[in-house]
Amino acid sequence: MRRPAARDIAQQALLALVVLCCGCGEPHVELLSTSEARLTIEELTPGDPRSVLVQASVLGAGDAWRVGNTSDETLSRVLTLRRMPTSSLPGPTHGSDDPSNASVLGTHRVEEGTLEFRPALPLVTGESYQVRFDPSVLPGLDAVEPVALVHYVESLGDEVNVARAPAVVAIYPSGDVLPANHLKFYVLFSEPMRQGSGIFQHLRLESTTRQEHVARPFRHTELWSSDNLRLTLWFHPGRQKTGVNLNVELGAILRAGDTYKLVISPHWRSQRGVELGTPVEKVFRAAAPDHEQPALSTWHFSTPSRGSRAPVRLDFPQPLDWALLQSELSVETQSGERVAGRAAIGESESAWWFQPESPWVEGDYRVAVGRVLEDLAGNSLERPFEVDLSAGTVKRDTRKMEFLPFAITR
Amino acid sequence: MSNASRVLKIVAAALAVSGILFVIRSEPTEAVPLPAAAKYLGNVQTGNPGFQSMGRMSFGPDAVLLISDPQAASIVAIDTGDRGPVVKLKKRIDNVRGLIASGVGAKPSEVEIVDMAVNRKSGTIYLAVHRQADKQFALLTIDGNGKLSNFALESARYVRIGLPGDAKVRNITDVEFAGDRVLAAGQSNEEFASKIYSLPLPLVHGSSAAIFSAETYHVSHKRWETKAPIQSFVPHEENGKSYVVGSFSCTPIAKFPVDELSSGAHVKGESIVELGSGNRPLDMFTYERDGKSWLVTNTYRFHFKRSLFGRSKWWGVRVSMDYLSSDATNENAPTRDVTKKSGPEGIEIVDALFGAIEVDKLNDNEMVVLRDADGELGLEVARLP
Repeated sequence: MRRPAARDIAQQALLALVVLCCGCGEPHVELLSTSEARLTIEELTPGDPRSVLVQASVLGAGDAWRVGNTSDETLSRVLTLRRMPTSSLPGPTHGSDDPSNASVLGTHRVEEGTLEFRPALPLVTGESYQVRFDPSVLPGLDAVEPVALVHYVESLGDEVNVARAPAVVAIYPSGDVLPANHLKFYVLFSEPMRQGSGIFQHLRLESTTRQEHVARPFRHTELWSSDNLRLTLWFHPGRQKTGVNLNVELGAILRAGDTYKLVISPHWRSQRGVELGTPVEKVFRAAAPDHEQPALSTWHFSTPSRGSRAPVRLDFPQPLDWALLQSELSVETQSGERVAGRAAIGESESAWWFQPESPWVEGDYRVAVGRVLEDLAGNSLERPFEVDLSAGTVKRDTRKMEFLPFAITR
Repeated sequence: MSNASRVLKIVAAALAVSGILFVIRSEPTEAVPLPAAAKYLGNVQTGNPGFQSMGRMSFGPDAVLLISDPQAASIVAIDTGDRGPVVKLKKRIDNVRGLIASGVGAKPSEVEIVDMAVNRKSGTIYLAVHRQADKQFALLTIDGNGKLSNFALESARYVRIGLPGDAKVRNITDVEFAGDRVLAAGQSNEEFASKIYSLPLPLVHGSSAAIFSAETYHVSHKRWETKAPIQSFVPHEENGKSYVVGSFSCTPIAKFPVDELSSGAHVKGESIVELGSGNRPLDMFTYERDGKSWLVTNTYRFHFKRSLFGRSKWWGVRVSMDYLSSDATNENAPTRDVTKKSGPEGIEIVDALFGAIEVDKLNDNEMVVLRDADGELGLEVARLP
């Protein structure tokens, strides 16, 4: 059962003063109510102006208001809904061949003497739409004047809160020294941002050392997390891979020793339509390229004592990938049972620790590490980012996990 | 119309009893199972597939449309029921962006055409459209008369299949029918990895794809081997064996035997043609002409400003499929002569693809091209060379 929360009604009642001569020589003046085109817009969900049902009918037209054999094409001229350009003024407009003035797509249907139109998609907040009902294109109804309504789609709830701007809450890697063959950033937002290929116009890289923009450094592939709060931003791999044509012709994106600034434009809007407001910058220096694989043997290990809830701590000689540190490390018993607890990542992604929910009990444990864990240059435990085939036969190690055993003793 | 006749009509209308609308329209009825459902789709659902996003798409046999939903890390197959007859687009449509924007009720600047696929059974052009203002996705169609319509997803006959490892798969670069299966290529949003998924036929709703190859590799300068994401691909049969012909983000066109993919081993694609640096292949299809097979691809050009041929960011080539069976692969693979419009033999720039953002085959003589001309988008049928 629909309950109209907001309902716009337009009704064109043509009142005619008709002078009739009945032969008596004296004029009679009668007031006649004529056919009326009636138009309403109803919210399908009360309080949500985006989902609407448009209803139109002609009162007092009798059989003339008969659209039994009327084609969809004609019905789509009888009842239209158009987005109004920002500059246009309210008022009836007539059909146009201009494709950008075509009606919104949707479904026309006839229900209990009423012609209905339901847009295929919800309307967009902040936009005005003109609904126009013109029955005069139907036979016998050419005297009925068209009627029109303007429906403004108000912002919903928090959408209007422009005072609360979106923000970049973090950029990883968090350190300020990155290898010259660095591969990717994770940019974390406080709320979902507008998506689409246009996002890359809001992202740029500047060389502060050379006082210039770096031309097209990013791979234009959108990779968002499932909650839409994290963007994975890749440097163009074709320029970061040795020997690949772009790398040969243009060189790597970063030069060791130079300082750079990743800049996010203040004009990037959130999904609510509110701009970031201030530019966001991450300054870093490029160090020598890193072609070495991370290795467990180089990690420093601190183990807690029995009965405490002190964390197991790992310190790495180099920063590792922030996202993969979260998904690829866990603590388990020697038999592979996961230990419940909370993991955290240390400064510059160079440390990781795990605190158990319950105090440690004596026994043998291990840190399980997924071999896809990478450093900042894409070198994983599994393989280097670039394998030098000239260095001999490549040994394939197909293990998925590696383990760091430790014991809790008394 | 004179005032007098208008008045009379008004009077006539006013005297009539309140209007009744007569309708002779059939209500939607439950769809009759169609051959496509039985042969290619299993456990078919009727209703809205509930897209979280729309990405790459392609048509398979019997008007089945594959649409990737990267946000949900899954593939949706829709039995469109659009089985012809073929009515191809009669004349070029200008200002396609404006047309679509008005259709979805948004500003033209807030509308993105995510992908285009042509139903060769009907000639209808399908567009996956993203309305950026509120992240709404729509499947729209353009018929032979140029009429834009909404494909009603509410009553779609569909199946949805998940891709394993879904938490990290955030970009599905292509999805295609390939013989006895559907293949999809996906990219992770964490590790530098490209995955290939196999979905056996029939596609059964609620099932999950298998990862047939975790990685693809690409060798440059006889020396450096790196993981490489597949950008787009087409199935290919050669001497009774099934292959996937794919393109990497970093230019080369390579082939992968499908049998090898199924082994789960590390698969190295053999590079067969290098198009010249800075080309990111977008769409691919094959066609036959005078007994010869050709591969067509349009690419985004990194170096378009200094290109000798055309100034558009997008262009395209055709490549003789003879190269696929050539022994000259990887470092010995032929490289397009970037100083000429064609060459070596069998690699040619296709004039009709300048500006082509999206391209799909209509038949062996024609393709549908969504073309950029200084920011304006036009849609047209173009002849294949």
